[in-house]
Amino acid sequence: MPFSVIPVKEIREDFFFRFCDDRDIRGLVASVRASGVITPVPVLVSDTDPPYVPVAGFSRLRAVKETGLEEVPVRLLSAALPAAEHFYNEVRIHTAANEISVIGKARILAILHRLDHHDALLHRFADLLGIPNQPPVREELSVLLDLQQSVREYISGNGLSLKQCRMFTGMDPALQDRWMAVAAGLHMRAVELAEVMQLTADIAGRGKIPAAAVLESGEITAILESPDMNGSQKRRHLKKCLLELRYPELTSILQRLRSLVRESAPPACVAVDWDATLEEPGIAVSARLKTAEDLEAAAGWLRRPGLMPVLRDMLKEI
Amino acid sequence: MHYRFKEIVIDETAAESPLAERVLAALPGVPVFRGDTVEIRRHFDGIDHSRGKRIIHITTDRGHLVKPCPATNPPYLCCRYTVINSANQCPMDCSYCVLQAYLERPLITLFANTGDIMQEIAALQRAQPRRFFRFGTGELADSLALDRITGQSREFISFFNSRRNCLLELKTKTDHVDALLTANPANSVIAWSMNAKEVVRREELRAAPVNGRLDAAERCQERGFLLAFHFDPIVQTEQAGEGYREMVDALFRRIDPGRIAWISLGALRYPPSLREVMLRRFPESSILYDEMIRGRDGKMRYLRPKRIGLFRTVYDRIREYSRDLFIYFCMEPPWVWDAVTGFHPSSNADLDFRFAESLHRRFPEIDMDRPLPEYYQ
Repeated sequence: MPFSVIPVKEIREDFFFRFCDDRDIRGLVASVRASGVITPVPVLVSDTDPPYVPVAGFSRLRAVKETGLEEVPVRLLSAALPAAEHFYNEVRIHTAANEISVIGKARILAILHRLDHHDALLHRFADLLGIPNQPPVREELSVLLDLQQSVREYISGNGLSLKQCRMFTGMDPALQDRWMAVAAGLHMRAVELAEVMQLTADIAGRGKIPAAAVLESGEITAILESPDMNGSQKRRHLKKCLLELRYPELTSILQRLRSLVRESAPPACVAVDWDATLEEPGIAVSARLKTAEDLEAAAGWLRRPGLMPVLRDMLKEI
Repeated sequence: MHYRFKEIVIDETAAESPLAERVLAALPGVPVFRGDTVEIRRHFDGIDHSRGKRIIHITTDRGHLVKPCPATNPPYLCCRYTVINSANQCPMDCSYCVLQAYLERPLITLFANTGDIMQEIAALQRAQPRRFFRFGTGELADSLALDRITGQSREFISFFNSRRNCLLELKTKTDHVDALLTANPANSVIAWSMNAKEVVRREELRAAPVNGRLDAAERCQERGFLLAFHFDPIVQTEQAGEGYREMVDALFRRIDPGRIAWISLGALRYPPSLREVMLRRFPESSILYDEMIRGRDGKMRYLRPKRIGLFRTVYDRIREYSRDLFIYFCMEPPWVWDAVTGFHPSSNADLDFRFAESLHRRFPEIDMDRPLPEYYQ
């Protein structure tokens, strides 16, 4: 396979075949500055000007640009094979290293669409990428490329699955950025983010208001901007607040039950509990008796004159 | 309601069947795709629901097409219905339809091996000759939606006419009863899924309006069929109370309670996976945003107090018209039965027995043995 060193300016800058995510290349820049480009960049020779089309090595090329090098070592790919075949081989190297995010997969499909005979290629590439070669799946992937840059970075950085990405599709761009700011500020993992986003969307859907309005409501803003809470506390409070807004009836019944328990003032050894979904009726009153004092306290509680009406009220609620 | 179909797909195993012939004759000009199972699977791989509802797929299935209703897990009580899966999928488009999440491929699939189905029914009855069976074709499909094209219901009605200890229930949201009006009504129950007008208009796309269903029910009543009504799914709306009371009133203005074999009540419930489909296909449906919990069986349901309130509204209104009518709940726990009716069946078997007992007592014309609890264990 012929190797060569060519002027950087002879490499096309449109990066037609670039499918990987932008990554932090500071280390790579330092390495290139110290030792130059060690692994040659695979390029196709075209009849365009400039003539060299890279098929991989885009981070290396970015690093070369940053360092100001004027020449770069390249591996000249055989003209006997179609460009798609070389592209396939490069993608295969990355899939073997499990390096391709769903955004990368979406980019690969978009690249295929710009190549000749792309229908014939789709099946092979879909197999390679481990995605069903079905129009709805391809459509879902292509939509990801329209997401905001911040969201695409979040998807790639957190290794979201295609299913997890659905939480962003169809979302207003400003709201996408807003959620990304929330996720960054609260250090939210994808699962947590999906949950609060779904709750927010449901609250908005129920109230027929935009989701942004829910996020901008006083209660939510107070949590997000509170100087007294750390990220973990904010996450917990945000979820609690959203759950209360999403399930007002359940919340209200549970709050009344908790208030009645407080009114009944059970001793520490007595627990009053119920099915949190209210699906099963009734309350469970149990006592853990470790000492004679516990026994006295539990018995005293049961004899309290005001207890029965409170328990009756609880049973009415549940 | 007439449905437009874009394609007829005929599996080679069903190519010579009378069903395929009837469908082709009823839908001239609709493109036909013929192939083996693998070719058909490939042809329709990844097809979406909306398109699938416009394609009729005729095939055969040597597996079990007659089986116990999948029901749900305890503590929820179920009635031990037996389903005849002679068809899957339906041309109507209800936002809450569980088939959207349940069926692997959304084509309207018709099974042409009706003879095998009848043999399965006979075998099931031979195994428990003293038990009374309720069979139905309306579990994975609408029993009558495609009847003008398939003529399947008449075949089943004729088969059941001469059978003992069983009833066939044809359950529908349509008014397609013309073909039934010249059939022998013995041992068949024609049933309608009913809902408040507001819910029908908003959530039951391409289904007949409430009045259309009642017109059809009245015609079947006049023909001598037994009737049944399924108030399921009862949906919570701001006007739910008024809407469902109006529906009950409308029903009993036209239908004789003495000809109603049973009425079921079921509140909206669905597997969590359905929500994702609904969000995609019916993002405007308010059902999506109802306050629901995940029940003991994993299905999403309204809060128990809410369900009890809804059931009481409908149940109490029905009881104003008839004290004797057999009313049951679909997939509710004993404590919900208790809260609404003051009673609950001790088990699924007990509910099944009570069905038979009610039918035997109320409809002497049904050819059945006197039900005894021991045959329902």
